[in-house]
Amino acid sequence: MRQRPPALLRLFATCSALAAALLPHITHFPLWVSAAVAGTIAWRLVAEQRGWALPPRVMRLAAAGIATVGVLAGYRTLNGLDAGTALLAIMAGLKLTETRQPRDHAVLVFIGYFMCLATLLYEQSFVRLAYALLVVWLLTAALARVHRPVESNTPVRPFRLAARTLALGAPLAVVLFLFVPRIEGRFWAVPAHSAAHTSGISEEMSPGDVAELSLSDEPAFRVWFTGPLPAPELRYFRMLVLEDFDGRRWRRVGSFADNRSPEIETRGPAVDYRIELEATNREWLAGLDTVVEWPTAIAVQSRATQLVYFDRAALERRPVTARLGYSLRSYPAARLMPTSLPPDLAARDLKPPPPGRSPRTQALARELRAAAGSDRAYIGRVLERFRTEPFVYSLSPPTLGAEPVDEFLFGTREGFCEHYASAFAVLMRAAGIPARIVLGYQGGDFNSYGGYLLVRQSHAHAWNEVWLEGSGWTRVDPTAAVAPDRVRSGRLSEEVGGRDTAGWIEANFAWLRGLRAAWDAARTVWYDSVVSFDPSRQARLLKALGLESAGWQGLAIALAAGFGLAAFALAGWLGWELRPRRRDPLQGAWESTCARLVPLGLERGRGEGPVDFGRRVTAALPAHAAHFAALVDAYVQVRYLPGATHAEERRFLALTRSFALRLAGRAA
Amino acid sequence: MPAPRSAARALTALKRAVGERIVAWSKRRHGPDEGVVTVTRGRVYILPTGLGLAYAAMLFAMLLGGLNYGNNLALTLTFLLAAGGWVTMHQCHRNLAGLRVAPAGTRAPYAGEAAEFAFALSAPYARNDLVLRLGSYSAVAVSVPTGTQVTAHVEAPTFRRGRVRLSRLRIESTFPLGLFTAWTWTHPELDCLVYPRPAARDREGPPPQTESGAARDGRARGEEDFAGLRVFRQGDPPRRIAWKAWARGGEMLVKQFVGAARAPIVLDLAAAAGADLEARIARVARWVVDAEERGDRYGVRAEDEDVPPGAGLAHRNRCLALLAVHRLPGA
Repeated sequence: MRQRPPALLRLFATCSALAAALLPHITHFPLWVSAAVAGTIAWRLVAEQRGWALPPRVMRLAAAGIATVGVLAGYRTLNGLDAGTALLAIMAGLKLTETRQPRDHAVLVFIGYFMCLATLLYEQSFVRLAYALLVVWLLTAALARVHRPVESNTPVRPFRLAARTLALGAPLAVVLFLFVPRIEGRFWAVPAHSAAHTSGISEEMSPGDVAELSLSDEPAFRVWFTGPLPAPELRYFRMLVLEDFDGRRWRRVGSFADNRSPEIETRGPAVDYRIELEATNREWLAGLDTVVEWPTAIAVQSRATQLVYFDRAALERRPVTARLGYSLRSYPAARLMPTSLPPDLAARDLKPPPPGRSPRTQALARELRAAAGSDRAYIGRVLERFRTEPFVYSLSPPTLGAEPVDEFLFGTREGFCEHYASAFAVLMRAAGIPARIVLGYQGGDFNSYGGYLLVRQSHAHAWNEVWLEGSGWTRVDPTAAVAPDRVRSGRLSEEVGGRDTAGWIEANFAWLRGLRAAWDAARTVWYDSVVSFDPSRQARLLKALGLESAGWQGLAIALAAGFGLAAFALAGWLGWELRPRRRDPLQGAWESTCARLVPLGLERGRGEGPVDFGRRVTAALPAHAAHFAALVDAYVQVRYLPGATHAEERRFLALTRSFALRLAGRAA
Repeated sequence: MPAPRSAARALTALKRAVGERIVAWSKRRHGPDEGVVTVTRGRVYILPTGLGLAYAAMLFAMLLGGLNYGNNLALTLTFLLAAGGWVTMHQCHRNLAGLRVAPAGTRAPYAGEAAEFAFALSAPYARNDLVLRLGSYSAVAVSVPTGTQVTAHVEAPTFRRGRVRLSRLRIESTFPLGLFTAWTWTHPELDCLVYPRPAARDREGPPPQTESGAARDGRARGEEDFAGLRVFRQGDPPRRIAWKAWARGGEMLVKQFVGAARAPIVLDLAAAAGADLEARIARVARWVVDAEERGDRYGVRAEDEDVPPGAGLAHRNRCLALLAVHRLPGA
């Protein structure tokens, strides 16, 4: 291999580590930032190799100014995670154009460390952390390479050195992780980063406009039930209610302040459970129908949360930007507002489409209602119609025109839950039955490794509630009439969900499903134990250590003791590992033999070989001449001649022992 | 701006004075060092470098960020980096502790050139990137692999003939990441001779007072007879090297000549003309160097001291050593 100049090697190490640190940010950098930084890195490496001059200071300052303005123009701020990381990446590129000294390299490595940190602020998955650690290793190796005045460093050694340093630090890091006090809330407000709304649920619904529903397998939330798992047809997790319809689009009405306590008649068994909701960047919380009470001490982790609910939808005060856990109690058989519907609600939920909209649907409703005789019979007729007429469940229905409900019911007859729920609600209202749409999740995959129900974004669902005298708001799921599998298994059947490749694969390869479940369980343990390690968990840990009453002082004690212990162990390990190695026994025996001759005035000179020394000794000590000559012979044999056997080594050692005895006898 | 400059100067002076105090304190602590010095743990001092402080500041910023975002993974990363920094402190300290430093000779320069002190470094386990420093003059970086002995040559500037004393050697290391600097002082009290700088060759050539002037006069360069070859030794004049033989791939050999007249010459300080003693010594030094180059047999006399005639590099060095310390106090 051709020897590369050390400066180029160093630069290459720093540049590649920095590039690895920037890589995960490419998805949210504007294209020009990524291109500029990548271009600078490439240019700098070529410049080093070809010996080009680096740009003058004025040019660098001008570039810094332009880049700052560019970021400011793109993000309208320099604050916040998105703008901050983009600016830092650009500064790294600019720094690179003047990088020569170790100090410049160190600045780049530090920027790389910050980039790793930012990566984790965006996403807290195990994979992200593993990648960040890998990059930290590369960066540390680059730093180790820079600070080597001796040029003859090997290409591999800094990597080993960095790995060792970080590995030795790991126990200390664990102690710090466990005992450095976490804080409630924040020191200062941070602008929420621009992550898209990740939930499958939105506050509006316009079925005719959606040409293809994408089903994400991302988890929406996980549910741990205290008792047995509820039956599949009861697994309706509601999130919000849509009541206002303009002929095309359903919207949520009502305000968060409307927190009247609705009349609820509790019936049947209670279901207690805990939900861990993934970040949605929305205020809505999910709860199993029907949530009767939000426990006063809701275990909402480390957050002073006020849960407000009305008509059985719950919400957080702030968008849920991080995983949120809470415990609830539901009564699947409870009745909501069984005796009377408040007039304002009745007006809202009976409101037909605006005049002139959906005429055919309204005519059909009046016709069917007249034929049915009762509200309940009418509902049965409508569902029967969905079942018997050629309605098809499809995730990629045709888009609908000016009269989406009419076109769906009498034309395309192809759609997913939103189409059916929307049409059903219109049919109900036209017949004088208060009706609304509920958005939420239905179904879920039970994970036997973790003992929880995993509800994915692909379980997002829309269904209806109608108000009936005597039983109050009653759930009706018209989609179930068309695609009963959707409800029974919580998953689309093969025919209707044919486009869902992941689902198809899972349906056909059971072991893959098991693997996925195990992975999700591992991920859940990861979130539970690492990501959501917060002041309350820290307090629990202290309690387990018997330091609960000491408060923050307990934490300080634990931190000091733990760190001291780990640091002591580290020093001990380093001391033991770097102890002087035990000497070669043959060498030791030879040296001690020589040392025994020193009192007799026979000191082996520096650089005097064993043969020469042997001649000198045999001349001076005729009584031991034969013995010592044999000893020297044996030593030369085992030390300098190839192919020495164990027997010869043993013979030499025996000779040294007997020689020592002879000398001792002479002294006595 | 005189005020800031004088303030800066005062600060430098203060720093130097404090530095000297600390060194003196460490010397009192450990005593003078003779022969092989083993750097015990108690002799290793360690402080964070500027980079180390910057690293700490970075970690603090990361900690605040991690706590503020309530992000445990960011905190994990921060703690790992902090722990890594802590580990490098140990590694830096251990890189010096246990090191053995033995004086390994000196190389005498002509005044104005650099004196060279050699130190043999060895250790029970590998040492990385040690920097040996003499004051602010010079630094040399070496690594010592396991089980070997490495000789480092440190240079000290010289200004006049006589002796230059190395009373303090600083061995330091920022291994492995440059976050900490560990150092130790040894006080080996080593002397290195400094030969007088030979005077410039004068036009009329050397007029040394010889005891057999006639013989010398009759000797011309062309009369020198080629006497044979010997192996090149440090200091042989380049024009005597048998370049052809060397170019053929052989050893570097030097042609030896036998002059017609091999009568020894005595180079007497009293015979040297010059403004002062130093100038005269420089003149004699020139004669010595030239005589050795020519292959003469020569001796040196300086007042009541003398070196009897001889030849060869060792002899030349003996002559120069006499001149180096002539009439110096304490010599």
